[in-house]
Amino acid sequence: MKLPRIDYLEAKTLPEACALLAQGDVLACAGGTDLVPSMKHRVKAPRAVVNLKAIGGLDYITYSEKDGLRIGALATLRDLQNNKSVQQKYPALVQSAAMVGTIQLQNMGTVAGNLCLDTRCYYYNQSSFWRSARPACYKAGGEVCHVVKRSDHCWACYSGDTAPAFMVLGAKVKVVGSKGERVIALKQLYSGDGQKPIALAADELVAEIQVPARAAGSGSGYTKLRIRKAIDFPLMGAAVWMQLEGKAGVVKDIRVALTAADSAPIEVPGAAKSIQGKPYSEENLAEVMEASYKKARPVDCVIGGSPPYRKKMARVFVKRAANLAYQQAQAK
Amino acid sequence: MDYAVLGKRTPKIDGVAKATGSARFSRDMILPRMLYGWILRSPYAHARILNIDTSRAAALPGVKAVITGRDTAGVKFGVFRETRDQYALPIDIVRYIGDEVAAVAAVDEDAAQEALELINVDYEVLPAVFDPLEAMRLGAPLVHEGVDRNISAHVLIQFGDIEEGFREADHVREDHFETANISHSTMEPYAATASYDPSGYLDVWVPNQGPFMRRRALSNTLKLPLDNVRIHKVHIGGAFGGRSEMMSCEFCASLLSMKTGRPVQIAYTREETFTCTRQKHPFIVDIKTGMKWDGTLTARQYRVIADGGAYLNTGPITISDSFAIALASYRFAHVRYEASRIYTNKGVRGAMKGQGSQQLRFAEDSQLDMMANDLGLDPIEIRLKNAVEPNEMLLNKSRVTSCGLKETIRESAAAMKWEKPSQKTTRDGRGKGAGISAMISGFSMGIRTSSSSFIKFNEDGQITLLSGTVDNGQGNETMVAIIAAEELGIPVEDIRVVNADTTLTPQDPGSYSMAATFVSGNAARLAAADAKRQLLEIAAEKLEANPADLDIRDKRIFVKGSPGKGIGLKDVVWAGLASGRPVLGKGHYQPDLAFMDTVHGKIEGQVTGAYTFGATVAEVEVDRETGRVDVTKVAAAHDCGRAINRMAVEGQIDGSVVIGQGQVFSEEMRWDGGQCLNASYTSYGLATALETPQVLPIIVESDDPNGPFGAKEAAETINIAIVPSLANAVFHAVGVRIQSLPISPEKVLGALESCKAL
Amino acid sequence: MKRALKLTVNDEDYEVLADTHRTLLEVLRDSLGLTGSKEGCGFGACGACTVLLDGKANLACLTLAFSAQGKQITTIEGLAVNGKLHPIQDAAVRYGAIQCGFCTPGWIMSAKALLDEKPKPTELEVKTAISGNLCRCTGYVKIIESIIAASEGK
Ligand SMILES: Cc1cc2nc3c(=O)[nH]c(=O)nc-3n(C[C@H](O)[C@H](O)[C@H](O)COP(=O)(O)OP(=O)(O)OC[C@H]3O[C@@H](n4cnc5c(N)ncnc54)[C@H](O)[C@@H]3O)c2cc1C
Ligand code: FES
Ligand code: FES
Repeated sequence: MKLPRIDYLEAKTLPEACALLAQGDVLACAGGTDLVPSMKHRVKAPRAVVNLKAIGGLDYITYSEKDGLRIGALATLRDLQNNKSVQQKYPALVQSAAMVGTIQLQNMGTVAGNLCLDTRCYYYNQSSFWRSARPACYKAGGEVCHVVKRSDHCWACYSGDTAPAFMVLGAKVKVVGSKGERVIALKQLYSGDGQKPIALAADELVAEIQVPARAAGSGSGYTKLRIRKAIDFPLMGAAVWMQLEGKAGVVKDIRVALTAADSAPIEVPGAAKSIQGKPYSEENLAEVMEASYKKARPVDCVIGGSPPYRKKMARVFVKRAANLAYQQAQAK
Repeated sequence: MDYAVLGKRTPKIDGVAKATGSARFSRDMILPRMLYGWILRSPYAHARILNIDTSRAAALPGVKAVITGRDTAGVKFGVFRETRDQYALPIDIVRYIGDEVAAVAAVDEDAAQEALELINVDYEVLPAVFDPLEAMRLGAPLVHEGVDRNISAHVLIQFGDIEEGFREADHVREDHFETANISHSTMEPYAATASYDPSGYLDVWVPNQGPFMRRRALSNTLKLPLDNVRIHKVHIGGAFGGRSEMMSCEFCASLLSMKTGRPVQIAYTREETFTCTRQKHPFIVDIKTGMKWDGTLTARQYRVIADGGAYLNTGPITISDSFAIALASYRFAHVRYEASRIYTNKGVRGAMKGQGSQQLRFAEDSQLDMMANDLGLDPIEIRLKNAVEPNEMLLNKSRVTSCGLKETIRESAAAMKWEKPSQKTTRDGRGKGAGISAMISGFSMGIRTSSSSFIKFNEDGQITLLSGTVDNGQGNETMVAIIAAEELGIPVEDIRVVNADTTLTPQDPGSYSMAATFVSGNAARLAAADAKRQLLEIAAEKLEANPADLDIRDKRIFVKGSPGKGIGLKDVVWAGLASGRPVLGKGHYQPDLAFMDTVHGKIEGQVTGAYTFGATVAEVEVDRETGRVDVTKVAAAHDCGRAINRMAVEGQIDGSVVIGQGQVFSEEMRWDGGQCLNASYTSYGLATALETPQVLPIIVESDDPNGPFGAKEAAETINIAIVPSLANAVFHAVGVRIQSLPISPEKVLGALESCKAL
Repeated sequence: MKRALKLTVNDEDYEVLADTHRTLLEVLRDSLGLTGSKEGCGFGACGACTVLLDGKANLACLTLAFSAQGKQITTIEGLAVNGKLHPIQDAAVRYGAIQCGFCTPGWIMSAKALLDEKPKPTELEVKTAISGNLCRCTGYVKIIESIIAASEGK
């Protein structure tokens, strides 16, 4: 399928890129693995794209106890998996990056692009011909939602894999725009609105992802439900971070986040309360699993499982991610 | 028998071209001055075309031609006269979302695509129907006017006395099964390049399973003399039955080329390939079977409803053939089969790997397992007990000649060390179990033409083999080369195969229904035998011997018994040329078959040259928390008569297992009304390399009396067997029986939960 | 909008005039005549268009042609040297890993990237490396066998 006639722009620095974006009707392209399909489908048809990959020196990944982990916007999912510090300290990041699509997509796709992934829906991610057979939905500029029929807004599903992992690790993102820069909690990157899920202005870009240094006794894990072991977006994905204390491995703190559960990656609020101070076990995790189940609200917009089934799977995958996190946390 | 080339592991003769990227597929035919075509499709599931205004599109710079149904000769196409219900470019009515409305040729694809947006079509929207059961109700919208309750084909076939059969039974079960709407998903998207020469000749490169069938359809619809249409040999990226019929693609490319006098290429997108070519028929099967206490089958009754989509074409074959084949697996005296194929306003369903066999056998063999379980019988024993045997005459008076069914059952079970079905639990708590299914396939070759082959000896002793056989990837080119090489005592490397070109090569039925090895292979063998006879005659003069005393091996003709006395093949060829006797072999083969009238369900008489058999035993592991199934190991035994090329037969077995696996667990075209929600590789679940199980291919050679060197077929059987054996394996692993495909994690989990609730 | 595009493909420099909205796959196939790379889906899900960019497996169907400037691009046409097949190609032919051949160029490129980085991969690593390359014919069994054979010099 052909791309629409778009112009191709390059920037040498981030501010330069922001300036190009500020001209209007220009979109940023990193790995292009999400943007290019959307443009082929004509759900996005900007005047021009600016290729961020032409910017030098933005693919760094550094770690220090003082600054923690710093990831440049153009580091790829492959770079993330191959980094020694990430492997040792943040298994959830490696696990989530390794579950994105395919090897080729991990080679091309950037971490920032993955975090800024657009929401998905099988009435939206379709060719212009396909969509012409029914009224345009909210996300495609129309006035209806084909999934939740009488809804007044779009329900498209956030399906990025790494976001929940970064979220439970307490990540922040550095955002630059033509008017300057700001650092926000990752959670604030997401609007929760299926139609425009990323809360950035048109001329803003994620410049860096920052993760606090690994705390002693902490561990993280990510896993997802999918039909095939490659290619498939998550039907339900769960990341868990936990910190243990004392000899008996008592849970000091736990954080849980889900993807493919809503229009944004979502943190399960108050997850820690029920298990804090108790030794880690599947029984003691039960309320955390239940809270995750309640928080997930998938809708019927992806292939592979009905919403009730995917919702049910929140329990299972939170448990599995927690087991992974526990493995790291209790390892000496 | 000790063969020189046959039965070895011969690399494909087109392997190097494919490994280096130099093999050209239809879309790689980039011709000078070529235009690019694009097709405008209906956004309505059912509508009348009132008016089409193409003037703005035609005026767009770069656009060279725009065609609509009005520019065509208005001829419908289809394999049988009775089933011609589709225009290559509809004139008045469109019947599914994606049905063709107009086509454009322009200097590049951008202009062609942009031109489509400038075509103005006035439609009168008509009521549409998508569900086959609804479509059968009185008063439902009619997809084709005058076709009562949308029944596009209906057959009723009976043998014996079904009521008597059930009376004889000690145990009778009635069950309901449903199969999924599967996509062939050939990796090559559909594409055609056509070039019309003003002197009246049309050259076409298009993926096909039979160039001669395709030529006829194009010649009929374009109103060109048959001989003026040339389907070229081109590499073809898979077929699986989906490339049996003509598509709008090559028709429009040809017509646009005729209008513009320039070559035109139309390449379908993956989405178009999914929804606007062909798909597999989903079946709803109600099946009732009677059995004695000891497992002997007494009677079986089927009621089948097949969702056929918007047009008919090969549809009757799907519903009739599947039953004709079903007769040859297990023996029973009383049977009643009733099947209806229903029109709906969705993309067209056609042939796919085994026609409707896979769908029917999923029901039959799942139920057989259920009945074995009811009566406490061993699944292997019950199959062996009822299996047909060599030389058996079937209910429809079709004789099974060679038959290795029992061997395939025993050998696949032995390879898996099968004792009895048992549920195990893996260390991480997953349910583990194995299931078996045994299968036959044997397709009517009655309606096809025969195959002929020529062999030309060149002055250096190498040969050119002309065969109409088409290679879709299964290795037919290599197959005919091996057969000729074996017959002639020369290495495969000395043979250059020229094939699948309607102008150069002789007639051939095409690679459907086992016709390739059995029919084209026999023709190649006979051509080689003819050439050999000529060679021996010439050599006999030189050697002053009797031709009957001579033989060829390693490019030498020698006197049997005294290998020292001989002459080089090349010298014989030269001698022939010098004396006005060029060595030109000719072979022709047509199986002696009864005509099978699939449209009316008349399937009596010898319907196939041979039946092939196979059995698979599959082992799966089921995640009890998610319902996800992993296939760990599959033994697949295939009676292919004789393996012409072991590596190719194994390849067919491996591929059949993994395609089947995808169809069972992850593949399904899902629809919302007339729209397919997942016409893309992102969300249509073809199995990946990470899903591939360990496959143990087992070749059983029953040596067919009529096949070339005893060979029959090597593609369909395992793909049919694998489906029920995986369903049976899930049952044996965790005790739940899923009766509708795909066996999704959600269905498995749901069934596990309802077991717990009991 | 057409502009001058400079690409280095299989160690050869090319300069063509190309529209800015062309993908790398379109330019390779339509402008440079390198039709070995295939379009199986055009949407990143089948791997038939896999080429190497600076040694890593990338999807040419999702790569903007202009973004590939300055990179070393390797396509299937660049593997055989002076008519001698690359060991992976050779093993693919000998082990029966090719049926229709449409997916072949793509997975061979993925396998090359793998073996260049990891000359002796495990079976799981091989499967993972080609899990983004769909094949409808072979069931992958002989593809996997052939890559392992190539890695072992068999
Ligand atoms: C077949 C297929 C399967 C896939 N499977 C998965 C999967 O399983 N899991 C998954 O998570 N993803 C999947 N993806 C999506 C995608 O490949 C990845 O999410 C990838 O990481 C996206 O990164 P990118 O650099 O290619 O993003 P791009 O396509 O370049 O960009 C994505 C979006 O982010 C914006 N953007 C890019 N960089 C920045 C920045 N620095 N600041 C602000 N905005 C930015 C872009 O404008 C665009 O809107 C799949 C894609 C395909 C085609
Ligand atoms: S064509 Fe590029 S991934 Fe399918
Ligand atoms: S060989 Fe046909 S798709 Fe792989």
